[in-house]
Amino acid sequence: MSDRDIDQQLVARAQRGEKRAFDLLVSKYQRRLARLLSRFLRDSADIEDVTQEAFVKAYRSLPAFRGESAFYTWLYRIGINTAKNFLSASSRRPMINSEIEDEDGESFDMASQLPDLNTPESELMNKQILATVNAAVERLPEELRTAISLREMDGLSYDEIARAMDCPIGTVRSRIFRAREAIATELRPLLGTAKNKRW
Amino acid sequence: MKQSVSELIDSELDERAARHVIAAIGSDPSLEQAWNDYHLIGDALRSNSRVSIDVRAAVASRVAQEPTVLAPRRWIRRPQARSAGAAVLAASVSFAAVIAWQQLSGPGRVTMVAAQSSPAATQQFANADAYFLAHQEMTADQGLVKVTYAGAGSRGAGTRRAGN
Repeated sequence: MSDRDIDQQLVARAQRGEKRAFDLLVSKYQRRLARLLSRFLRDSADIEDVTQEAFVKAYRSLPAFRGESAFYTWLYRIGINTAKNFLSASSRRPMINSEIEDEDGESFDMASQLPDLNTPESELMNKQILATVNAAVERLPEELRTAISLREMDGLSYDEIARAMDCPIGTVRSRIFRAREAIATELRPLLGTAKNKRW
Repeated sequence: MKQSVSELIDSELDERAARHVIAAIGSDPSLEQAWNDYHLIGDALRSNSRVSIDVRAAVASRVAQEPTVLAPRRWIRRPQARSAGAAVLAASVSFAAVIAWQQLSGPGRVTMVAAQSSPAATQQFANADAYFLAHQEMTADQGLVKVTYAGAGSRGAGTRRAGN
């Protein structure tokens, strides 16, 4: 089942009244949406507020979602409109010209050139998460590290990874899962301290 | 089951297994935690600069106050249903074409067909004619051609529309 089909499954469940299905979509896309919004908004508190508002608007609009586009493409438009409304209401100008935004907001990377107004706490948390994940990856056995890197960074399918690593596909499934669990085990204490805290 | 969550995230499950795992995630907090963690790890490995953001609790709290969404499943396209609709449309067009052809073929042909028809077939045709007469006010006037019904004398009809 493709990524788009999985999203549509979750949307269909949410449309039937399963709010937890919508939680899974929030969990999956919140960082991607926040990264997109950081191209319009400088303040990290604003980014968090608009991210939250965009998801609530998406939930309210779910009955109108017909699956004609991918869920993220639809969410992307809601996010952009929410950011523009936010800037308009607060009489602030967007940081970028809307004409130069690309369709999914992924390839345009002006954000790295813009001043980042992360709070010290959110900046620290970002760095801690990235450092923890990178350190955990470094400590993985080589075959697990290679498998998770080929999957997450290079976007290869399990079949392609199996051919690249010359091993059965079942081994790839196991290696990627074990890599994720090893990284998550190191990450969970850090995330536990951050729970319910606004960064 | 956590391994299945990992495979689901990578789109490596078939539809049946994926549905099963999605349902399980919704009812098992440890699987939901795995779903969250694995997505966070993926974003971190792809150097997402916003890995610390977490609006799940805030969004869930606000969504909980919203009326429950209950939307029809019309957006799920069914090729079979669409094919059936196309077949019905094609049959309707074919039927209209046959009727129009019969009207445009001239009095000789109508007479011939009527002469060769069995009494039952003639009665059936008369019933169809009565149906058209009864419903002609329901049809649109624009774009339709009115033709003389040559064999109308025997059935008492004057003119009728072709098509539709």
